[in-house]
Amino acid sequence: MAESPQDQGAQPVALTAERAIAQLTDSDLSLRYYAAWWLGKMRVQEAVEPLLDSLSDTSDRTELGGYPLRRNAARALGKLGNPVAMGPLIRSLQCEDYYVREAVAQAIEEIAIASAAGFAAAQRAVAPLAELLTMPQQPYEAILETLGRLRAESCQELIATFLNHPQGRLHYAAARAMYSITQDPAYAEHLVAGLSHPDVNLRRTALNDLGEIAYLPAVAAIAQCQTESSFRLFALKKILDAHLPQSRFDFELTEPLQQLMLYMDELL
Amino acid sequence: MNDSLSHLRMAIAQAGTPHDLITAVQRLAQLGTAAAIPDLIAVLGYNNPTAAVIAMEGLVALGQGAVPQLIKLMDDYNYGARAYSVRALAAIGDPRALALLLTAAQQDFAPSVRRAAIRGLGSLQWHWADDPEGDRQQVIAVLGRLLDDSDWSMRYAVVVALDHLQRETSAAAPTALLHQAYHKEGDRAVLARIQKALQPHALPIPA
Repeated sequence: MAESPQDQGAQPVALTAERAIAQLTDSDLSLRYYAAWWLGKMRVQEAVEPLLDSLSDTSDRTELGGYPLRRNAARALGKLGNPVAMGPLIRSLQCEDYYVREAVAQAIEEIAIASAAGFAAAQRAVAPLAELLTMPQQPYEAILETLGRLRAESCQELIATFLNHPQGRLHYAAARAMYSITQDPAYAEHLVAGLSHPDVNLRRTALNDLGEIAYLPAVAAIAQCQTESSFRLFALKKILDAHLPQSRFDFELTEPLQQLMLYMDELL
Repeated sequence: MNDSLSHLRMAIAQAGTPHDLITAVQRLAQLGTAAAIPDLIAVLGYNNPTAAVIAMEGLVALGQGAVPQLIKLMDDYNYGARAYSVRALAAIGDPRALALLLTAAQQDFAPSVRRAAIRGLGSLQWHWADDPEGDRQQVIAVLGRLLDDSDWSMRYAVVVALDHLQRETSAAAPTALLHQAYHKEGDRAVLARIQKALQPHALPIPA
């Protein structure tokens, strides 16, 4: 099939990094939105500066006043993982669009995961994130997750207020954050209890959180949790990954890790 | 409650809550009768994981007698049901399912079905086969190819299958494939599983 892309009418043409960056300022707003997503998915590092421009875009507005391009730009910046984006992202935590704030909190977490420099740069986000936590109508779940990832010791008291939250997802997000900060198993046990919650969506959330914090004592409970076997397999894989040394050869396979693999075998 | 097959069929059809369904399926599985096989297979597609696991275990308990119908009634549209059926076939280990398992392992679009099939390839009861050596060679060839799958979970399943195979045969091929895998594997979790499989055998010193 030797068709040129121009022959295909309204179909999107194959993007290149260069073309996608150019499209971030295209007159067609939907192309901008798509280009921002694409640059993140393809992890085009040269796109950091143009995406930072898109993060303060004012032309793409929804009827309710949202900023779709800013949301996608924030998500893309998270995927790129470059700490250079930290300052503008932190400023965007003040954006009036809830979904921009949520995407920004998640992007800050991703940058903190990506490198030691990212983790260090993201520490400046702790205070502004903590402040949002005291305000109404905020993306609490994303904020709690990020504060946990940043091991924000200064925020323990504030985070702990969400441990009794009636919304299960926030309860678990707080427990996960508290465990990340303190390594106190009592918080991880909130999540283990969540594995037998009557709501399957909350069981999945607790399962995923236990995988993220790599809580080894939970492997038996995870293996028996009433959710799809693939969810359990992937959570156990995350725990195994976290407990293996970084070197490639000759892991010391402790008894708990061998037991973990037996559970994984059963979930195939 | 009357536990005749016809009564239990009705109880399943009329179950008003998930709990009613699970109770009826439990009784159906406990009957242990071959006449219930099609009913147990149907439960695999009801989108109730608890009931499906009970039905699957009931089918496995019925053993080889359930195999022809598990193959014939394989659900081409519902991959959740297919994954349970393939797990049941894998657990029973009847080589009559070999062709189905080989195809599912390589071609099914659902990862859960592929993983179950790959694992099943490692636990067939060879003494039931007409041509155990020929079958085993086919299995080894396919597992060898699947060691290059891009999805870590498929490669992990291959390692589990090879681990099983090397324990039950004197042939060197499974262990040799595990050694090959050890040198080319890039995922640390899969690597750890290979290492576990090779532990009783001498590990080569990495260059």
